[in-house]
Amino acid sequence: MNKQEMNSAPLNIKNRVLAIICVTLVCALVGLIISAFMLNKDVKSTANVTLEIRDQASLTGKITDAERSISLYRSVADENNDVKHLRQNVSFLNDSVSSRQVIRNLTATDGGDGKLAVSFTVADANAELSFENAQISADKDGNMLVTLSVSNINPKVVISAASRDKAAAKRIATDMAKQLAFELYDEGVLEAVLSGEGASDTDNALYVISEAVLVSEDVQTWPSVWGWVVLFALLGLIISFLVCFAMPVIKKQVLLKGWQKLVIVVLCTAIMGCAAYTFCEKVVKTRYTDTLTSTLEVDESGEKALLAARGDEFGATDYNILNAFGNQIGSTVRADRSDFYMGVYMQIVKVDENIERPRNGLQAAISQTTDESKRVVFTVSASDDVKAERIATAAVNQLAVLMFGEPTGSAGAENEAANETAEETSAAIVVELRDPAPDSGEIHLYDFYINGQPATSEQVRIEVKKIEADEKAQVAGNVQWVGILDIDEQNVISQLPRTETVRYYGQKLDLYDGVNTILQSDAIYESVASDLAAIGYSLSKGDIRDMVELSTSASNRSLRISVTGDDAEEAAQIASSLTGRVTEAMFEGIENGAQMYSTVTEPQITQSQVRQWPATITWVITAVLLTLLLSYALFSQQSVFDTLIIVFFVLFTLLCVFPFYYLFINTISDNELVAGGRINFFPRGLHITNYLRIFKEGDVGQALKITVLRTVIGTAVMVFTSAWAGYLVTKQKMWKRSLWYRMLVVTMYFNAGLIPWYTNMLMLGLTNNFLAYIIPGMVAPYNIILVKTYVESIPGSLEESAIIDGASTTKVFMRIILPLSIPILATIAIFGAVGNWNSFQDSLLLMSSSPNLYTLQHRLYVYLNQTTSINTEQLTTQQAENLLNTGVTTKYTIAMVTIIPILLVYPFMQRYFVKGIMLGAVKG
Amino acid sequence: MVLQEQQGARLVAQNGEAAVDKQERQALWANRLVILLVFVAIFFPPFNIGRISLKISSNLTLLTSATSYNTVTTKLGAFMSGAGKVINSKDIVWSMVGCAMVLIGVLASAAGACVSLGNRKMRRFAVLLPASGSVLGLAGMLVNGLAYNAIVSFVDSREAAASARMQVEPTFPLFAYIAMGIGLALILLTSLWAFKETYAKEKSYAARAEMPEKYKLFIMFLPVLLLAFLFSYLPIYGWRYAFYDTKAGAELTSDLFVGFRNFTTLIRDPGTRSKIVQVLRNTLVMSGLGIATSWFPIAFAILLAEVRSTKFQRGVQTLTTIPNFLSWVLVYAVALSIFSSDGLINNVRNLIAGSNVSNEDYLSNDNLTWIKMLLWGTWKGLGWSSIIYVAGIAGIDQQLYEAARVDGANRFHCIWHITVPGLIPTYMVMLLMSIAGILSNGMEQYLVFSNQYNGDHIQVLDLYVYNLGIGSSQLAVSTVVGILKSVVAVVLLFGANGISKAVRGESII
Repeated sequence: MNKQEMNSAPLNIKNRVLAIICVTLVCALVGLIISAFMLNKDVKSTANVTLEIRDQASLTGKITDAERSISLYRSVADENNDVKHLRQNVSFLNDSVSSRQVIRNLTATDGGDGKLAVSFTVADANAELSFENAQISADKDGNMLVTLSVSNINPKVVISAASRDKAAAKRIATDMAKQLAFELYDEGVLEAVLSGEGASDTDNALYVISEAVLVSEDVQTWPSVWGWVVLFALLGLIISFLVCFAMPVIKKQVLLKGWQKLVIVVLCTAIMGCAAYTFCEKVVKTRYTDTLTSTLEVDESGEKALLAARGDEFGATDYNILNAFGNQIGSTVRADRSDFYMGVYMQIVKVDENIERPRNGLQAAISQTTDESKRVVFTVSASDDVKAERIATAAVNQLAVLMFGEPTGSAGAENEAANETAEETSAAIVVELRDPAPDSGEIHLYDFYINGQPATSEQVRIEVKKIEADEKAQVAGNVQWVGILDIDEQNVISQLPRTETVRYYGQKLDLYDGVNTILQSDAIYESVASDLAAIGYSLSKGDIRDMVELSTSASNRSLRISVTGDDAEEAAQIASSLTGRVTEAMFEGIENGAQMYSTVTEPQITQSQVRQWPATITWVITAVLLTLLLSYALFSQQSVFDTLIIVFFVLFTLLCVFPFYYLFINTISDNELVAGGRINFFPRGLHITNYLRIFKEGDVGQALKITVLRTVIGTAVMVFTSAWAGYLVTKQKMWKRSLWYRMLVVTMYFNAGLIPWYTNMLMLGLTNNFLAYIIPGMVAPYNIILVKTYVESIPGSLEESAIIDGASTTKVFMRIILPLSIPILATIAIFGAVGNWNSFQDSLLLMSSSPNLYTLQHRLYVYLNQTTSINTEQLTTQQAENLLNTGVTTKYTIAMVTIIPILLVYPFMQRYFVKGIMLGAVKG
Repeated sequence: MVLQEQQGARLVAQNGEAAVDKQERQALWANRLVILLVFVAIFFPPFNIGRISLKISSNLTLLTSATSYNTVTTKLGAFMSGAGKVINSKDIVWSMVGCAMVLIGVLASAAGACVSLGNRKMRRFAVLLPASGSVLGLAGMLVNGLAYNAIVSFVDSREAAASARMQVEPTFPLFAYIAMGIGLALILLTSLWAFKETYAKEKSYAARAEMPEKYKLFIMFLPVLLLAFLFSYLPIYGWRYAFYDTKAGAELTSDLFVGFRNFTTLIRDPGTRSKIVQVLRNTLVMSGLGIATSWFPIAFAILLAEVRSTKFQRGVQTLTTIPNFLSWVLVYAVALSIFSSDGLINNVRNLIAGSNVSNEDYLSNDNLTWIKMLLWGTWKGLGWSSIIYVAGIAGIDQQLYEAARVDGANRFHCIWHITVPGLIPTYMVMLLMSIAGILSNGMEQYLVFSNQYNGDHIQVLDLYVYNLGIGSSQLAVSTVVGILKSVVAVVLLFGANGISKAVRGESII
């Protein structure tokens, strides 16, 4: 009575609410304090500023005075081939100049080989600075001592500043660059002697300072300060609510009223929605810019003006070039390559942050920076900057090789050659980029200069075009992988802006015919076939030819070479190889007479985070559905305790079931998505080729056969023997029945050991023998006991009447006992079948020299333990890719093959095994 | 006289053998005994007359020698073909034929021994079987001997006879021959004796050959007994490995006999001792954790019974018992798919963080191995173990609940005072069985989850025995540990049974 009174004593509601608020606030405070310790203090952003020293036609220096300053002379040849020394003005891009005290002790020396060695100390404690192409050490005062080498080849100095604040990082880097330039030029350390007028525009600038570019920004990952505060506040809220309200309620078993249920539902929905929003997919995109700089032998007058007129940044792709080098990227970035296909294939040219991309999507773009038109900038977007770096570097290198041939020697040697005489420069190929507006479909143009003369329209250009997204690439079955050579035929040449032209081999070719001719030849298919053979596909050139089709787009502005096949990967391989080969064939003559220096600079990185909306919506919908399910459970329950029980069981059941769902969707989804870890809750890219492939590989099919045989035969034999023995044991008349029965039952509890069992099998000749699966399993004492118990419950009168009618024991068994015992026999059969299907140990121990007798579980075990890490250097790209791609999927598929029969039979089994346990619980 | 005969006939018809003359009985029993001994001998390797070359494994029995060509020629196959042929396959086949003849003879004798349990008419026929069987067997021994001679002469006729001999190593299995020879001869003799005794009597009184019911049933049951013997009792013969200085693949000759030294080494040698202690610790901890959480199924069942909807109950039961029907290899596959470095957990973490920050392989470390194994065991077994308790709850008398409610008990009181006590008996049985099986954790679970990192914590006794015996071929120590484990397990079982009898009044086996 007292307890009841106490329970119903009216605790002041106001007090309780007050208590909850207090606890919540206190917890929020605690969260704040903890966040101070847990925050990542090392967040910083890094900005890059590029100081480019343009005075490069000849970079000579000499020490002019005792202060060790250097004059910079620029030697230029005019029309009469007289060398003029020019001095030019300094140009700033911005006006503000920072304090000059940061850089001190600036010295510049002639480093020899056309290099200018500039050294200075940096005394700025506020920022972490780093310099490219620099040797950095500390002087005796602890100031940073920087030594740069700037040369014709490497005219850039990149200054990186890192700071907590990204604006500060940018500012510091810019200021540093300005000061350095100022020190170098303005203060007269580097002095150009000019005879003549100097121009003051950027084109003739001695040096150019680029805009500060934020290259990396550490993002404070969750939980931030607010995250911690909210987390703890929530925790406090929940706990105090439970203590103040819920526990008494649970104890009292108060029934929930309608409005209370509604509140709970709304709360749960809100929480789930917030969780979904927080956990929804975020994409971190990294733009990775790598730069290929080529030296330029330019005619100063017209061309330079031409080049200076170049404009904005843009992006485009050159699919065939990317194609060709795609094969060069090592298998360690396998995922990138396939994503790369996808990314390239589906991308939209302009880099637009709001556009949805697959998480690991890559985008290769050839873009032009603001200041150097002689630069091909290769932009790779990826979610991982390491990958992006690798790809970009590889891409640029390959691009250079493709366009210009192998680099001819080291930078130093090249510089030497360049230094000899400006006039005697031999042929160089210049890459000139034009920017069409992304939507216009116009094309980029590379101009080739051969032997100092611009290549005419009779000569070569590579063109690059925006690619339309084509969604067909991912559909299984009839897969089309399209390698695109976007070449356009219209040839307006002479004036700017050029739009499109294509010529190959110095002849005016009809493009379609040209490529068509190439595609008609056998040679191309032979080479494609040999490419594929090298990576493990065996197709004849005739097969390949059948798969290839050439077509033009609607506007006749692009050609498409389509490869159609049943296997997405195979088609992709063929497409890539084919377009590479066709490209080669088209550009065969290019390398002759080309000479090129190329350098690759450090890439720049930018990152940004974008939420992907469709994924969010999926999450939110799932959350809402789950909550609705929960509330259904709620509304049919009467008390809080019941609700909690329901929640517990739902969670536990999900836990039991979800792994199989996960395995299943991973086997029917697109393999590449699986390998990228993208299939977690919903299947994507459905196909069943995994299962088909599994059975083509002989050992799994064999194991399946063995296991099925074993299950069927073994179980049948075991059931019959158990029934027979169980029946006989019930016969009291048997000679020494109880003795034999006890001897049988004792074997259940007594185990002679593993080694004795094994040697016993050896003695009986059952190793490496299929009968080892059948014969030892025939006598199962537990099942015999079950049958015995059951048979004893059959009325004895049935037997007696049969015996009186003259039936023998066997007849009684077959006609009467067996039919009546079907329930228990079914139970035994199910357990026996499951046991046989799952058997692993006997296969492991006994079948060591006959792998064709392995059971399915054993075979699965072998596959599961196959190494997943591959020494990729020994495999070709495609082999490694295959292995990585199929390794995990194969394991899952075999596991599913092992599980699915059980799951299919399971609903029918349930009736029997519950009964079986009941019967088994009775003492035998 | 006639009356006596009739009486005798009735007696015979009713009592079968009991009415038989004492001498006949003696003869028959002697016959049966010898047949039994010889029958058992065909399953023991020392009696294998087919082992005519040392290259044939010393673990083969007559049974295998008669039936499995592959096993016999495992090591001889290399010498049976090609340029370096030193042994003819047909000789081996003849040897096998000889063994098969012996085998058939012994089987026939065994059949005869069975049949001899019948009435006199059957017995008269029955004793012929062992007689002819033993003759056949002796003939088989002769055939085998001839085959052996052929092999030896073939080997000696080779050019490099000495090296050929070394390759084939023909030996005459003298002990087996003597033993089997004596055995078969005794069978023959005792059958003839029984024959004499049986036929000495008058013609059978019974009109038909029949056997008393009890023997008929026994003979029908005999194959089952035989199988049980072969696969559960015969392995005890393998315990002999514990008493020899065993090297894998080598024969156990008498000079390798070391008695109990292997047992004492286990305790004296510090390395082995500490390893055993560690393994025991793992085993006991794992079993202990299992016992400590053995009340989970009860709680699960009780909570499930509290749910009103039977559909929900059935649904939960159905779904949560699915993991039980998987093998541990499949559980490992599931574990890989979720916890490995490209599994679900890491994928979800990457999704949240937005980049590839997470690739930790949760399976390849030694953290909390015991807890992990416990959790996997619980995941797999909870639904299944709770079935029996759910059924138990259903069997509790509803009137008890009604009475309690009338007295003012709420739901928790009902659970604690009615349901739980109702389940305690079943729980006790389960608990006792768990305690009896405390050393047997099973091998499969720990084998699939073991890797190079967690060996110290995951190796339970069964796995240790496996690793020792099959992995590193230390047969002697492995067998010793196995023997000790079996003995302790039996002791524990009977102890638990005794406790159960004392406490509950019922035994559990």
